Amino acid sequence: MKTLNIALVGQPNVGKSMLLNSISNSRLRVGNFSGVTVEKAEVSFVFHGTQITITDLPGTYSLSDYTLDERVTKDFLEHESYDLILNVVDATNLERNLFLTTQLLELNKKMIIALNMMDEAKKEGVCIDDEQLGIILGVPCVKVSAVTKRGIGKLINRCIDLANFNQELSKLIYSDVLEEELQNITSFLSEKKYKHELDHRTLALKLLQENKKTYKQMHDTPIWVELLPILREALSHLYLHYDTKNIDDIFEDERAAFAKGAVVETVSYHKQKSKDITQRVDALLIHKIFGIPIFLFFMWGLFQLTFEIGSIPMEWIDAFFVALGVAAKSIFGNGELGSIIADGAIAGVGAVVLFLPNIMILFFGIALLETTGYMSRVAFLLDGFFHKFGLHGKSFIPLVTGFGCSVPAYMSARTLKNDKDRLITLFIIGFMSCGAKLPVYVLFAGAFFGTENAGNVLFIIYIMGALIGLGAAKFLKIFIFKGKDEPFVMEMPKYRLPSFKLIWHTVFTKSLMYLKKAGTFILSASLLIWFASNYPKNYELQNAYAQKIELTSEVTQQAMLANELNAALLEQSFLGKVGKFTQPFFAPLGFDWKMSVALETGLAAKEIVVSTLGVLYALGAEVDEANDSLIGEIKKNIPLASAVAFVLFVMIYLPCFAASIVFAKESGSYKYLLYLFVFTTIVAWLVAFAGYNLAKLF
Amino acid sequence: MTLADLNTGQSAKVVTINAQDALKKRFSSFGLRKGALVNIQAVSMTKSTMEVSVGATKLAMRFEEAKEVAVQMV
Ligand SMILES: Nc1nc2c(ncn2[C@@H]2O[C@H](COP(=O)(O)OP(=O)(O)OP(=O)(O)O)[C@@H](O)[C@H]2O)c(=O)[nH]1
Ligand SMILES: [Mg+2]
Repeated sequence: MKTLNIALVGQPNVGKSMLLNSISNSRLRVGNFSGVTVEKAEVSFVFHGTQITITDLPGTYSLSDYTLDERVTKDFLEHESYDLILNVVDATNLERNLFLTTQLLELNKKMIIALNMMDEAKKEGVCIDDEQLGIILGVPCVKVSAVTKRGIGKLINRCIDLANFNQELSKLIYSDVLEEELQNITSFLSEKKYKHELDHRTLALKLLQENKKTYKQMHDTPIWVELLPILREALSHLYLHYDTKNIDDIFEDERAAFAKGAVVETVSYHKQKSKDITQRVDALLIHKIFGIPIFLFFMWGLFQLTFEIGSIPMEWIDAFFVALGVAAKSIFGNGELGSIIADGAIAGVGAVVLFLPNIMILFFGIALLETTGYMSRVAFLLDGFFHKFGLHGKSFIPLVTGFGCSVPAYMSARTLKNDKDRLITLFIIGFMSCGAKLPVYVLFAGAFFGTENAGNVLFIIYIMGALIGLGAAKFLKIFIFKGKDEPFVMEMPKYRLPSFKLIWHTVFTKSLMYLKKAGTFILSASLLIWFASNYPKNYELQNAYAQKIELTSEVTQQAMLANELNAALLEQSFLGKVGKFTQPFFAPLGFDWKMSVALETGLAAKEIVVSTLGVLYALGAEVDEANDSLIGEIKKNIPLASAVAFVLFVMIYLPCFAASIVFAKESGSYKYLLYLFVFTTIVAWLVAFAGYNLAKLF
Repeated sequence: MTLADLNTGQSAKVVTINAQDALKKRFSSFGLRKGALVNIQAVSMTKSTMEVSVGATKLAMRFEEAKEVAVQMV
């Protein structure tokens, strides 16, 4: 089968990922802000007998300056093999987009341009003569819309045509002055019949652009002696004409002029540009005084919803799993098999699935933030505040992503240019409680506060985590990652009303991942925890109690003894021993050994905190109340002060294993992971200690 | 006069950009270069950050950065 490799390139937020989703029905992450895609992603499919592979790349404003994510794109374009470039441009912002196009044209690759967002352009009255634009640029231009899927079929067909036919690669035509100098050098190279992998015009261009590699290559060849004066003269002509000695500036001007010229010739505005909706919405949302309160109100509302709406299906799910556990015990008996299924698998997985509704609401909120364009507004609002804590306004984006999951958040810190800013951000992402910590909060907030207050408590927990994170950032900035402030310049996208489909797609993808994790990883972990808390067996103890139980005839006495036995067995299991061993460390925070163990297993994944509690309290449950819910058990067994300390500890300590690995990779060293572990553990312990003692006063 | 001296709603034309190279390139790739028309869209309460429109692009930047863009009223 024929294969076709396409590189998807364009400026940020022009709809590359969404276009690829529309082309191939894939599920790449889409959001309305710059820097959604930070790592390349390949999508393969077969179209009319051709195996097409499209690589979605991080957006980049220009090829000449770059952050880490933009670097991924530059590296791909320069070093990987691909057949053609699919340059996606935003039809409503053509001039700026064509600036990058002019740079791409110099890569000497086959290229095709997708004029995306045509639906929006039409609404704004922007008319583009795509034929004419294609002629000016020398590459085919196709009008498409990733949202309405118009033009998609045509686009792929043109890609395949382009790949099949060899035609001369397009050349960017510069101004007369520059073209003349180029011509001089090119004809000299031709006269000398100079041999090089690049054609003479490209070579001449590289020489004029002072390309280091080209200079190095040609420097030691005989032609250099004769070439040098020609080059020198060409440059001095250019310097004179442009009144600057900065060749980068000269080419930048040339490109800008070209882009402007192309737009003047091909774009017309049909109706009077409609009133700028974005500007009107901004007048309210980034209002000097109301902007921040409005944002806080949205957040508060989200947590209210998380609790109020989330707790309705939660009760059903809870009842369902409790019933399932009882059923399992009646089918498989009260022995080992019944216990591993009911107390291990069902209690562990159930404790995690229980919180799916809350997680979905949280993801819904984050999806709204990401897809409407509000994200960049909040970054704008908070920049002044963040700046005081030594953070960059752009850090807001990875930090918010961190409320969903730390893994993509760590990766999205790549959009920060300065290494120190990036490291500080990486270090505090964990303070933004990820979705997997939500179950712990909901569990404890639900157990100790009424429904009226639980939402507020959640809100306070999140805000507190963020504030402690800011404090930590300040500390790191002052003592560890000292350095100058990086400039803050960020694009503010248009507001876009996300389609129901887009939101659903985002929430659904994440929920599915959560459930999958519950069914696989959490399930195995729960079984493991069940084993570790049931073995080694201690028959002596069991026999001793069995005798005692036989001796008494009173029913309550018997039940009490059985409970005592359960507790004693649990304590001498592997997990019990680990818990007992590490308990002294946690004792000042008021944790019993079960809570200590839950924190330790939670290092693997935060969901396991609740599933461990689920298993341990299911096993340790008093025999006559075997079908009590987890919330009930927590309320009965844990004092308020310890619960407060527990929540605080979970809020701050090391993120899960997967996230830790990504952290090490993104920060560039395992050394930093060690620092992170020490740093977060100390902070978590101190904060929890303070919280414990404060809560005891009440 | 620089971008930082303008009030919300005012428009101006960029005369020169005095920023260091990296920032200048970044500005330029956003379309903020000599000759461009700019308009101040919003300014934050503490006068630390502003929103500026250049062509079809809206940019958020700090006042420190805005000070490096010399403009002329139109
Ligand atoms: N109206 C309209 N909106 C679109 C279209 N294509 C994309 N969008 C929206 O534009 C925004 C950006 O889309 P993405 O696909 O994330 O953009 P990207 O180019 O991949 O961005 P980066 O990954 O940051 O480089 C999203 O809010 C999309 O919903 C389109 O054809 N029409
Ligand atoms: Mg993308």
